[in-house]
Amino acid sequence: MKFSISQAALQDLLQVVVSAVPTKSTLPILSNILVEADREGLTMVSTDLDLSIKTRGEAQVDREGSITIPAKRIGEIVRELKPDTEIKVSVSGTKVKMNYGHGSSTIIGLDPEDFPQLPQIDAEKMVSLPTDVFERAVKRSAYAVSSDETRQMLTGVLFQLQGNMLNLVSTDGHRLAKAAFQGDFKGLEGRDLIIPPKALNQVVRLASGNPKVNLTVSRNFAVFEVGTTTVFSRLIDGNFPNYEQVIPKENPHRFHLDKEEFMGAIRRVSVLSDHVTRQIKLALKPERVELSVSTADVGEGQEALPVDYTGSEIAVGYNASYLLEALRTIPSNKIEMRLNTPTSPGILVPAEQEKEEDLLCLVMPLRLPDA
Amino acid sequence: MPKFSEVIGQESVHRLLEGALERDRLPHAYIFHGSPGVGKTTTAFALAQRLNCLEATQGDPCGACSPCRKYERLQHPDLHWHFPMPASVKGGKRAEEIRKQLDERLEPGIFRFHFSTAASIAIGRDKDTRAGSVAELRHQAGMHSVEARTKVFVISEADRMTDAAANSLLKILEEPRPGNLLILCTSNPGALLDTILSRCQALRFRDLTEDEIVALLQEKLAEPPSKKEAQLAAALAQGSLSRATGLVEEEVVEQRDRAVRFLNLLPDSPESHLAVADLVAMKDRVLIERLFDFGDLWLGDVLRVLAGSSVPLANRDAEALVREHARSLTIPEIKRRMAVLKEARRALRGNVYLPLILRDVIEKLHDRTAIPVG
Repeated sequence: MKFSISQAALQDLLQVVVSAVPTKSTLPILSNILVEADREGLTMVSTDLDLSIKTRGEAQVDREGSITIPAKRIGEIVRELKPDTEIKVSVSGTKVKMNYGHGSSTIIGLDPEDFPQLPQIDAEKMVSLPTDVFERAVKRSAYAVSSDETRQMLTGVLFQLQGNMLNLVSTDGHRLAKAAFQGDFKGLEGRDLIIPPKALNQVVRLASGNPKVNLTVSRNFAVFEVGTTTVFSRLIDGNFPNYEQVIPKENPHRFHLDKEEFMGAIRRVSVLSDHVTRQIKLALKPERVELSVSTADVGEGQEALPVDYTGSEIAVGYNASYLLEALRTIPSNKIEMRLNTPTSPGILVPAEQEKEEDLLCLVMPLRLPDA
Repeated sequence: MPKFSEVIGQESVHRLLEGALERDRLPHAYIFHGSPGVGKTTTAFALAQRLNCLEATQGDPCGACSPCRKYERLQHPDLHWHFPMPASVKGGKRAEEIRKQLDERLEPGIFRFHFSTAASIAIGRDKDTRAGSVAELRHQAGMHSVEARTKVFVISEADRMTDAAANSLLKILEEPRPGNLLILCTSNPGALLDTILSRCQALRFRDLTEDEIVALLQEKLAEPPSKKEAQLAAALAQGSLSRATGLVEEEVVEQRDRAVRFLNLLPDSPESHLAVADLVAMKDRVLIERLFDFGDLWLGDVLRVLAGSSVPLANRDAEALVREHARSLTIPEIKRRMAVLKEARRALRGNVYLPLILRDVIEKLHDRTAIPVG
């Protein structure tokens, strides 16, 4: 195997793949990057088994072949070279010799045979999303995933493909986020994928500057294609709970609020909340909603906001952090809150949904001490 | 790595597994139990290869397909190995330790664990303890596989899981998912939780015969022992190849003699103080445990002579001395001394202060009514 490439081009490729290289692993080959040279250029692959990144770039290939090279070592050498340096790489056996300027170095690689195999991609079954939609989708769902590994299916975001709808759902049992998008998702209908948020954030990072993200499923992986880069995410095995059951259909107590004012009030009131439960109380009365907090040994506070509500009075306790995190993902400045009883889930939605998008945030209430 | 059928002496286990494979009726979890070093973990690894070989439909894996080659080099991403590690091995060092042990298994010769008795398999809630822990196992079991049809999780010395770790493993055993096979290897199945035992299919690995051990020692070790050494080691090893290998490497006769001397120390004598100081200075609880094992074995031989048993003595090279001891001891007294050693072993594993254990043992082993010997 033999090729030459400029420092700048090689550096770009390395930067894309290096984030999936694990620091320590029981498989030594994972500290290496798989480099394959063919007529059209170079392919580089890195993986920590949960997440794999594959990217392609141009290079002058004189002889085809493949090798794995220690990521850290090659990264450090390439970083120290000037961008216009021409790097000539030749591989014999597992020795990778790099010639540049007046210097050269030889790194010992490993046999590519041991590198984990990534699945083949079936281009027919690929669906495509505009990058801004994908970014929004991730931002609006990934925050609510669980960090509790004893319920592993909740540590990922559910991608549910139904006809022309893509639903992204995540929940940790205390709150739930659901973002639905319209589009053409033929080829993958009926699939439920549970994807770890780590991979989604990587895709968002790599997608900036690209117009679209392609998504497909292959074997046990969700595959995201962004330009010349492909991200493979191992899927979580298991069945996502039936989330539809949790979302109340009818929450009769509805009112509208200015998002920024609401968030500001929550932030101020929650200063005096218990630092574990972060509990604040929302008392809904005609024409206004009162936020209040009272914590033994800490203090108490309250704030009222005017609302367009005329129904009966109701008081509900919430975790202030959950409310704030949910509100932060709502794009419009007017939000609608829908309540039912002090013990049933509350719902936050934008007062006006974005085009081709349907966003819903659900927050479970906390039991009020006097209720 | 030996292939599936190449594991020595476990033909009946092999037949059972082969039958289950043919009928595609593998359970979701096995317990492989039997003496240390009879091929439990080796069989588990070989089974993982056999299960995921692309070519094999019957008999051994092909050894040529890509998965086969990865299993053979213990480089397969869907093969997970868990074993007890001391708490002092932390963070990134844990992954390194696992790799080190895997690499040692690949070397020619006979592989032996050499963990301190204080090592355990932990639940691994934080970064420092995660690699090789049960939390890691659960994570991997909850993900789809990377390449393989069946992910295989091998837990060596499974009886040394902490209670929290064992309980956390239960959920996987209770709600098995296709695509996962758990193999718990242990030489002490009685120490596993009942709830785990009842959820796994147990397979017993038989002890190796002395002849098998002698043959293996002479064939596989880089520095093969003499026939006489090998025979003594095999006799003392009680069917365990690991134990026999350790004995050969660590000058079996000398260790045995030290144990016999230890059994006969007078409390508070200068010799006993010296012996305690020597043993404490070595700071090696495994070695001290072996000292107790040898003592136990020796007392067992004395008991056999007294009871007129026809079973060959383990210490048959020192038969004259065994008979001499038999003349000065009674059966109840030997039983009492064996109980003392058993108690001491438990104290050793329980991390009791070493000089205290040793002094206590010497004191209790001594029977003031007996005639001093040796």
